[in-house]
Order: sequence, then structure tokens, then C-alpha cells
Amino acid sequence: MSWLGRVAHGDLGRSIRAQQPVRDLIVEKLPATLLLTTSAAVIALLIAFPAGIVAAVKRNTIVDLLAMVGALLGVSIPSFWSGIMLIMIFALTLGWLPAIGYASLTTNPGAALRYLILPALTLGSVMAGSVTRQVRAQLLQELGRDYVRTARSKGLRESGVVVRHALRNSLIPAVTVLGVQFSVLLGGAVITEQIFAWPGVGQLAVNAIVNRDYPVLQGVILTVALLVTLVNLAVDTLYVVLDPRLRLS
Amino acid sequence: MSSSTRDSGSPERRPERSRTLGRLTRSRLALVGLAIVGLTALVGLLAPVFVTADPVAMDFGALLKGPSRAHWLGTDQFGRDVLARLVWGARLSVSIGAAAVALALVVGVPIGALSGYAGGAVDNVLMRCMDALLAFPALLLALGLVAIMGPGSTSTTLAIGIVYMPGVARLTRGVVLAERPQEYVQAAHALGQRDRWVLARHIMPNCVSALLVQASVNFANAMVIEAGLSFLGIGTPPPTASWGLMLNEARAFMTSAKHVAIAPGVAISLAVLGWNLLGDGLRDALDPRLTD
Repeated sequence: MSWLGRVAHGDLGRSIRAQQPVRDLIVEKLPATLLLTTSAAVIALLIAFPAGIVAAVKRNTIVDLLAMVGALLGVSIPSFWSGIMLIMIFALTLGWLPAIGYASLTTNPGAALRYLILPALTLGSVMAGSVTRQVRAQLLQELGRDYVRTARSKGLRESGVVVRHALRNSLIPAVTVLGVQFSVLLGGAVITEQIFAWPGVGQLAVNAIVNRDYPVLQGVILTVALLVTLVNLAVDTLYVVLDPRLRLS
Repeated sequence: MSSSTRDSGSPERRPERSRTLGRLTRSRLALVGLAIVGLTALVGLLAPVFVTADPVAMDFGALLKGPSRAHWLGTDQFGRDVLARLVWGARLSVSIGAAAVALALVVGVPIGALSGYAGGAVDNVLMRCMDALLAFPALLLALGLVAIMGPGSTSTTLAIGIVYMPGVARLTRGVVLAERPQEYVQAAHALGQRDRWVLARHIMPNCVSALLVQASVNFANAMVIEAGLSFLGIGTPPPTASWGLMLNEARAFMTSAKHVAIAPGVAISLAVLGWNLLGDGLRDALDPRLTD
């Protein structure tokens, strides 16, 4: 109870190994993790929404099949293998990108982006797969509804019907998946940071386990749980923005 | 849902089951998933029959050798046979996945059923505890639990089981809440049947479909978490053959011996793909409304 009381005042204890306040260690490492997870989420969304929409619109074609196979592979290939494969191909064989490392976005943005691409792609691929499947399934459901038929019969262009009418209604379930996936991203960051020597809270947690530095591990897990809760709250708020009917109820 | 599916004991339930099985076997992707899952389980169960090589026996005369007649998938940095380690790794992965999923079901289903059926304060207390566990990312929670219990297959299994238990409890509670006001439950009460009997005999059979789908998805995720923990060096300790551990060790030889990293990665991806395909097939077969 005394620990909880101190946590409520922002005191997460002291690291046994580093002899520093846990809060300071987390504050130092958190920006790197947030940069990685948000970049992964952006990459995932940039892949998932176009792929999901095209797959739904071109249903039962080769495009749909390719998108769904890609999504299924994204969901099934664990990040610790895709990360190793990406390093093998793009860093060790082609030499296009650095294999491991980190640079600050504020001091050296060019290098930071080069270091960021492979870990963000590794972490984002699982989320891209899940969201693609969700967007396709929801959009297909909406495209079969009466209001879509009405919009088409009024002579609206197909792109307008899909984007302005059906897609908006299929966003709520997709946004729910985003909330769940953020939790998965933060968990996955632990492994991705380890593969790419990314100095975030995930690496801090693994080092804490290896060094039996339990106050640090406790602090990291609590901080991540708090972040997940905040994102879920943001997702709940976003529902109201996306669906005006929820405002009335 | 028709009344025939609600009454678990009625003979009308059998045609529904065969229809579900028919839908499952008509889905080619589900059959592919079933084949992969079956093959992984078979390879795991019959590991000593499939490979005669000892997965931990070192051969310093054959370090990091490529595929050959003696070693079909080559050898690792200690000269151990990669195929033997892959097959024994399947055994570990399948057994931990199965035990963790079983643990999540054994603990989660009663909690969810009690919560949904009792309602009120019991429901509030139990579900807030589950919500608290759900706030943690699965891998990070498993990491924390293994750190407390110490590395090893047993602690890994327990940790993964605990991680997936709240999801199972929430799902069960949802189905029980939906079924409780139904007329067949009221009829059972009117006949003087006890709460425990109504819950076990009439309501719970309606949770089976949802739990089956959830269990297949959890199985895939449990395999990934087990491999992830071993990859981080805090799951199954060396020299035991584990796919995650094999990948972790292979990182140091990415340029000189690619085969060491490729084999376990393909194995785990295929196994997870199989469970995902089977899960999708089961979901579509059990609830045809979801099939597009």
C-alpha cells in the first residue's frame, strides 16, 4: 500500500542497479519507444487502409486474394523473425539501411529516419495485417447495406459511395482494433527494441529482468499499462467523433 | 440462435453439429489450417519417431554446416542438428500452447460463468480484476510473471495461461449474460432446477462455439509468446530446443549461416498461420453470418 501511495505521487522507486529514480529512467527511454510505436502505427495504417479498401471493392479478384494473403502473413509471422529477415535483406545483403542503432529525431533527423525504418516496419507489419482484415470485413458488410444501394441508385460515383458513405460507417470497428493493437504494439516493442538495439522502455524492461532490477520492471509495466488505458480512453472518445448517433445517446 | 441449438441435450442438436462440420470442411483455407495444425501436433507428439538425432548433442567437427544428407537442415553453432531441434521445438511449442490454453479455459470459464450468472457485486469485483489484467500488453505481462516465477517451461506455461485467462472470462461472461434472460433458462428455473445445473447443463453449452474460436486464436498467440520469451532469453532455458531460442542464437550468424535463422522462423510462422486459418474457419463455420 505504501508503494501504491508513492506511485500516486509519481515516485516509482529507485533502480537497484543504476541507483537512479525509476521515473527518470523511464522518462529518458519513453520517447524512443513512443517514436517507434507511433511510426509503426502510421506505417500499419498507410498499408492497411488502402489494402483493406481495395480488397473489399475488388472482392474475389486476384487483388483481394493478394491483399488477404499478405494480411494473413503479416498476422502470422512473428516480429522476431520478420525483424531478423529484414536485417538480413535490407542491411546485410543490400546494405540500404543500418541493421541496428538509434539516432535522436531532434539532433539528427536524417539518420533517425534511416534507423527507424526497419524496426517500425517490423513492428507495424502485425498491426497492418490485423487492420487490413478488419477494414475489409467491415467495409464488405457496409457495402451490402440498403443505404449504399440507395447512394448508388442516386447516381453517386463508386469512389464517393465507398469513401464518403460505407468507409465512415466501417471505421468504428476498425478504430476498436487500433486501440487493441496499440497494446500489442507496446508489447511487441519489447522484442523489436531488443532486435534493433533500440534504447526504449522495452529494452529497459528486459535488462531489468536480466539484472533482477525489479523496481524498474514494476515501473515499466505500470507505465505501459497506464499508456494502454489512456489510448483506450482516447479510442472511446473517438467513437463519438466518428458516429454522431453516440452523441445523442 | 434456434431453440434446438440452445438445448444441448436434444437430438436436433446433431444436425446443427454436422452442418457446422460441413461448413468447416467446405472451407479450403480451414482445411489447410487443420492440416498444418495436425502436422505440427503430430510432429511434436512423435518427435522421437521423426528424428533419431539428439537435439542437444554437440558435434564440434560440424559447426554451422549447411543442409546435407547427414543433417537435412544443417547444423547450428554447436554442431547440433537443426532438424532435430526443430522437431523437438515443435513438441515444446505445442505442449506449452496446449497447457496454457487449457489453464486459461479451466480458470477463466468458471470465473466468467459465475460473474455473468451471479451479477451484482460478484460480477463487479471479478470483472474489475480481469480488466486490470487486460490493461497490460500480453507479452509484457507474461514477461513480468516469468520474472517473478523464474525462467523455465512451467513458469512460461503458467504466465501465458494467466495472460489469456481474463479474455476467456470476459467472453464467457458475455455469452452467459446474453443467454440468462432467454426463455429456456426461465423455463429451467420454473421446473425447479438448481442454478448450478441450469448454468452447467443449459447455458454453458452455448459458450462452446465462442470459446473454441477464442482457444484457437489463443493457441497461436501462446506459441508466439512462448517463442518470444525464449527469444528474449527468459523463457525456456538452453540447451532445450525451442524455436524462439534457436532464432535468438541464430542472430549472431546471420551472414555466415542463414539456414540457422530461416528454419525456426518458417516453422513458427507456419504453425501460427495454421492456427489462424483454423480459427478463421471455425468462426465462419460456427457463425455463418460472419462469412462474407
